[in-house]
Amino acid sequence: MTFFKRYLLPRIIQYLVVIFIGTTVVFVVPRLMPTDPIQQTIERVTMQGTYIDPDAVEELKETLKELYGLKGTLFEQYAIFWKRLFRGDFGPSFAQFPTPVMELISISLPWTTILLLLTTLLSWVIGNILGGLAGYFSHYRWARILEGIAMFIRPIPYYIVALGLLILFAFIFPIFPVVGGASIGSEFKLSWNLIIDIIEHAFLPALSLIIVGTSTWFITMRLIVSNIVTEDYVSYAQSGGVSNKEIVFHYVIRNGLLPQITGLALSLGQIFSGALITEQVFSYPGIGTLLYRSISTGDYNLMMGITILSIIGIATGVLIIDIVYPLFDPRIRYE
Amino acid sequence: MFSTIKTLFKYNKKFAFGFTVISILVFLAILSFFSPYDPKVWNLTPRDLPPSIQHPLGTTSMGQDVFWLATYAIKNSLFLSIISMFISRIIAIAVGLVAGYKGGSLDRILMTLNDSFVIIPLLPILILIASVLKGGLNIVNLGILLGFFGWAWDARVIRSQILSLREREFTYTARLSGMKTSSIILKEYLPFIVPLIMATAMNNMLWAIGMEVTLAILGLSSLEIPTLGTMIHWSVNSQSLLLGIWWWILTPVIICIFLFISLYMLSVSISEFLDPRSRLKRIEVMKE
Amino acid sequence: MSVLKVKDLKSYYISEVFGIKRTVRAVDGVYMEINRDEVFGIAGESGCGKSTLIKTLLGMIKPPLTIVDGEIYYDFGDKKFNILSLNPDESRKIRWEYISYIPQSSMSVLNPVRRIRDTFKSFLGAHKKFEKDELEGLVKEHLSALGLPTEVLNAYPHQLSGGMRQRVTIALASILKPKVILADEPSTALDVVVQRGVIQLLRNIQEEQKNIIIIVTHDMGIHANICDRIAIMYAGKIIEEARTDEIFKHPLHPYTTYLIGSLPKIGDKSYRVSAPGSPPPLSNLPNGCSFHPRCPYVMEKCKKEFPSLLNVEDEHRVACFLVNKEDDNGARD
Repeated sequence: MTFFKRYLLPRIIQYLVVIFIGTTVVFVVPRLMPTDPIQQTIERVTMQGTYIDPDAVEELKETLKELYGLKGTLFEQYAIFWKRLFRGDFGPSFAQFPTPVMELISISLPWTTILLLLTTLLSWVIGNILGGLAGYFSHYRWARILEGIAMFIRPIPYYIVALGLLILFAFIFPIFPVVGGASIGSEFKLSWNLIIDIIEHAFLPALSLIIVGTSTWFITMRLIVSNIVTEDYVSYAQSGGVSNKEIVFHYVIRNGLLPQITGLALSLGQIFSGALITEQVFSYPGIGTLLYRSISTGDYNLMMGITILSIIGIATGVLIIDIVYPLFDPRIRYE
Repeated sequence: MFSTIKTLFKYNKKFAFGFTVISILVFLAILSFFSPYDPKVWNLTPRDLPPSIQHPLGTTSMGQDVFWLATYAIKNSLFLSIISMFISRIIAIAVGLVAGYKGGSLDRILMTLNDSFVIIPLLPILILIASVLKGGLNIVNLGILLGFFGWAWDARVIRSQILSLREREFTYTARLSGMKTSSIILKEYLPFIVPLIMATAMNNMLWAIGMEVTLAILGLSSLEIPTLGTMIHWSVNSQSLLLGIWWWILTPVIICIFLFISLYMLSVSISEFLDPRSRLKRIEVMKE
Repeated sequence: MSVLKVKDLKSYYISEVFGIKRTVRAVDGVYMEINRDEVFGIAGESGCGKSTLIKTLLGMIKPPLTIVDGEIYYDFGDKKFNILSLNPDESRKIRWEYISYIPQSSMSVLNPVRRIRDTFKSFLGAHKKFEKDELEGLVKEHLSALGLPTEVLNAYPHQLSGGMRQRVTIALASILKPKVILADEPSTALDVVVQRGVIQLLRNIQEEQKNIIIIVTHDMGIHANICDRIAIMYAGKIIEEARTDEIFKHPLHPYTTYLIGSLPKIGDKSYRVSAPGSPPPLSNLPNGCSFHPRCPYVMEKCKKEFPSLLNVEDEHRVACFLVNKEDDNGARD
């Protein structure tokens, strides 16, 4: 009971507050928009050359208002907005009317999930192990070289690295296909060829994400470890003649991972907004590219859908990690 | 202040690197005031010229001089990041100080809000806002917008610093001697927090410049204003790479890389300078 | 027969931060000889270099700690060495098997995320190969012999009381029956009742295993309780050394009299005089005898020269011009 009250309850409240604030912002922002989405849609329809008589236009307006959740007072709209949200209904896409936003997202989501889940986890593991080693053996040359490299990559945005890789591999060493998720024409049916195809296409975007991700985790872990090595339990283990290997993995990295777990939650949650520009640079068919398309076509419903999804995704990720965190930290488990 | 910079410059390579690069970039930004070309006007020079003596970094497909365009871009990107940095510092300091000093339920409410800002993915929300305001996002507006979003993490850092300061002896002494809360904060805490603010400020500038580049690449800021982001946007959109006009895309990308690394190095070296262990040693030595 | 011999040991903390050099003379010319079966006490105020001395004796030398001069000879019959000339791997193997250590505060010395059992495993496993259940059996046997519940093995450090944690570190330090146990303020962080238990435990172990125990504490009461011989340390140097009863009966150095004077006696209600002022910073020692600014009997000579540690009586050595009037910086030992 006390565990629930002192540990879990504040986190569940935090979860609800995040979703509440996030979705409310998403609800409010487009309504500040100077242009009227309904007018825009109608213009698009009429631009195609078909003549619609004014009565039909009025009718269409009403239907669209209903569909877009723009009917009634602001408060009524807000209530409807939440009601739809609980049903997982983000409304129709403006640009690809009337395909539901949810359908577009569910096509792109697997691509992004595979790419980002793998790269995030991989860079987390590599970065933390290397960072832990470099932090503990900081007086060695290789540790300083690694740190230097990571220091230089860390502040560079991932899309700049992506651009760099694109230039390098696409134009100088053309080994990998530059664009697309899988070769055009291949059906999405599980087969070896398809998997190899995907890996080939995902390689460059994945590499760019791993390079940046690894250096980021490396630097943070290195910093955490520089504090851990001054802890009494490390010098005590050293005075006990415990081997360096044991100290590095069971004392230094094991303790250093605890703060990194929270960081992992935050970055896993980012998956749902995709690696926006990386995907676009390599024309990878994930959420990032979808988001990019929604921006260029002014598809607010799609944008809102992706934004809300990423808010819920990140909040859920953080909550799940918070719930499992006590498994890694006995001090919280047995309070 | 000046002597601190001198010591840092002499004994910390990261600081020396960051400081030198930033100084060069600031110099370039100042050069923009003497530019012979108006950055908003196209076709002032021949198109697509490779680097030469007349145009040290070549020209763009729109007939602009890349070097002088870049000086404007550096100036605008730095300006924007400074606006964002100032606004976010004010919010971060206010929230961090109040939450850390007052504690109790006010602290809990503020931190719940604060953590929500940490958790909520800012990029999609910024994209949403930017596409609603499309075109209206000039340098100042974008700086203000980024300032209002980029404070949460630093507020937490400042708060935890205040919490640890609050436990120290001089706080009790000051409080018992009847000092007012506001003067305790100003006189006793600020000297400890100022360097911390400096380090986080560099990080915030870095973040703001990166966000601007992201939004510009997506075409969501005022594209006629030269910034590092819009320069990349135009060169990518004009297929400069495919056409082999590498000087056009490489210039802003390399400036970005240098800017990011130097700001990061400054932030890291200031944090190293602030590290309580090395700091205590220095203070002890100075006393003796 | 001396097992441990320390000659002119100087270990300093030398660091350079942002161009400012700093030298802390934590141990500054220490001579010591410790015999088999002996419980040797080192007393002094905090900041006199006691803990650094222990670290150096253990061979735990990490920058900024630097050995400037001196030798530390151990003679275990089958194994003789100067611990300062061993390479890191050799000294790692010596530690715990021959020389073990009880830390000052058990609060943070145990890995917070591992069970006590795992800590035993990593400490023992580093020195001997064990069969699967052998190690567990050995640990349990040892714990019961010391009167500790074997359930502590399943616990995490934060679940144990301070006293129990300190007992665990004592059990860890003694499980391999080392020849020397270095104890750095083993009872300071504990309340008085628990303190007694911990000291009693140490004494039992010593009686059973016949090891040398070097115990460092500022608490003269503990020294009186457990030690055979006591050395008084001040500002990185040993200033007096004698058998326990001798030093309590006839303290010679003015600083020692202060230390002993601070010990309450039953029935004595007189006001306790402690040394005025506080010890000098080790990074900035005064000239001459380091104690002279606080000494009530200070002479001109004390401000200029440093008194050597000289034999006054049998096994009673002191470094003070009040006692060694005709000191001419002659022979030590």
